[in-house]
Amino acid sequence: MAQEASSSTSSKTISLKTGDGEIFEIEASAAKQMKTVQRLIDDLGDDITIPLHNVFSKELPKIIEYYKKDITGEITKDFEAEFVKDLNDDEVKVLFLAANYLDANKLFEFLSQNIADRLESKSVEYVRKYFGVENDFTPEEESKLREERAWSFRGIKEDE
Amino acid sequence: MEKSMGATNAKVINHIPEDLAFSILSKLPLKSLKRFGCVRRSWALLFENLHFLNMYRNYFISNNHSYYDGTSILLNQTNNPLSGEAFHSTLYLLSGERFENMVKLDWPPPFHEDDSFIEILSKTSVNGTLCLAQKNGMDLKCLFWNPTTDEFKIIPSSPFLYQSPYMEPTVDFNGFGYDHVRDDYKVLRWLCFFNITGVEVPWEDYLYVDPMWEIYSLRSNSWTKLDIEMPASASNEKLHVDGVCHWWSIHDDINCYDSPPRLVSFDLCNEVFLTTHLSSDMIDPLNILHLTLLNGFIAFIIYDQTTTFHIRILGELGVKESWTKVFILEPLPSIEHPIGAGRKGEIFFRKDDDELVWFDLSTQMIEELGVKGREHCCHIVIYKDSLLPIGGF
Repeated sequence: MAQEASSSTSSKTISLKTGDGEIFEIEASAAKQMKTVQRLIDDLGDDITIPLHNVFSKELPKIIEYYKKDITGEITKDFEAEFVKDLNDDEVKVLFLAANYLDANKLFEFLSQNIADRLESKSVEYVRKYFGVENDFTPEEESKLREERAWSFRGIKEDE
Repeated sequence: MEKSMGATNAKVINHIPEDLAFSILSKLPLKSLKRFGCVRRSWALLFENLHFLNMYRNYFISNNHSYYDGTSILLNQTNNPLSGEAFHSTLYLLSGERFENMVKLDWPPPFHEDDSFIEILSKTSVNGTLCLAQKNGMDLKCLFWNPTTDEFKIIPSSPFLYQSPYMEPTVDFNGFGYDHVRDDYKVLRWLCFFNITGVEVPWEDYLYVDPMWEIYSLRSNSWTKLDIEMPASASNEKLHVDGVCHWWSIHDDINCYDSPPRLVSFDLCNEVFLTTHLSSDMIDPLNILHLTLLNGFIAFIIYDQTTTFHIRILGELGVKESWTKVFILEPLPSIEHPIGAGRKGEIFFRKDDDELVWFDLSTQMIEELGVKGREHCCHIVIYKDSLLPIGGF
């Protein structure tokens, strides 16, 4: 492919290498939407395969799919619903963290909303496990708080 | 903490760092947020964490609630007349990103002769229809009006108004809204009766008429007495959202004694009501309350003489613990009182020089609308236009 002195990003593709060694191609204009990738391109040049240590072959194609749609202005509510439809909560979490690592703001905001929607009716236990956080309340503190906020537990299945 | 699940699989990362967690938490409904306060200590105090609060506020302001889809803003303004001048209500349609376009709309014919103190019930429209009311001494006008088609329909007089020749009613229009079960428009009113002054009532004609609630149904085109003991409104701020009429009261259920202020919510479909008390830190004898709808949430703007405005939004109807402190508007110089809220975090106020202004929650800027208004007589209405005939049937 002929290289141009001034970077014309419209039809150029960038090679991205995942943490588990696979290589994926992405259009330069889509790569621009992921600030981490763009920074690496600025540092390393756009001819080199950009290494993404913290993103893996399971997530990257999905992220590329999202930004492919984004650069053609085709992201709709229907597309977004389809995009997450078959993903379980953990898979969305991995994508969310990858979007954060890649500094891909639009995808990050969309996924954080999707996770919020998924967690809305979940139990305290489920949310603790999901976020990987420890319960630092004493048993007395926790039961007192649960009592104060009893209204927020109505209709929620605690073992979910 | 990272756990590797094999060379080709994605690493399953257990821990989500707190600032990333906030991005998710700030998008949750209040009920979930309050429940998840039990996850860990730092989450119990989310609304006291400035970083989280800023994220929540940004999301709150930018989130377009579906209630506002396709809506515009109407300003129902009353002038502050000089001596000898008359009172006039003027209706403006506000449009433009910064409300720079103000178009005056003409009231329907029944108000052409007297356009003073016209009330737009519940500051809302149903299928493009507004409900207008005017009380002028003994003369009571109430009608439906579609400003887009100019169609209007006068609501007939209630048989309950003049039950005794010696008593006259004080009428409080509590609400207008939509009963989606019966596909009906309803108007709710509170009547309170007083002896006509100066008239001596013959003993044998003495009839004490209890205060009562009545409801008008467009489908039946008639008023019905409501057998319900419900607190009457303490202010002009009345709202309608999704078939429920809201107002606030300082009376107990039978309107005899003063009680701490509470929100009253009347469901137009099953004609029952629910009260939501205010939390103790919202109640203070020096506080002034203004009920409004802010970005789809029922909210109170609470202020006193210091011109600092506190905004509390309601997480769940009926739950006094769910009033949540979301915004504090630092002393806004010369601002006297709110007159309503817009569609994307705009709050409208009246200043002490009568100028009507709007405050942008995201930029914290205040801008004048270019019109002046009388104290407590100007209101913002969220209007969704429609070409449907009144009642749609």
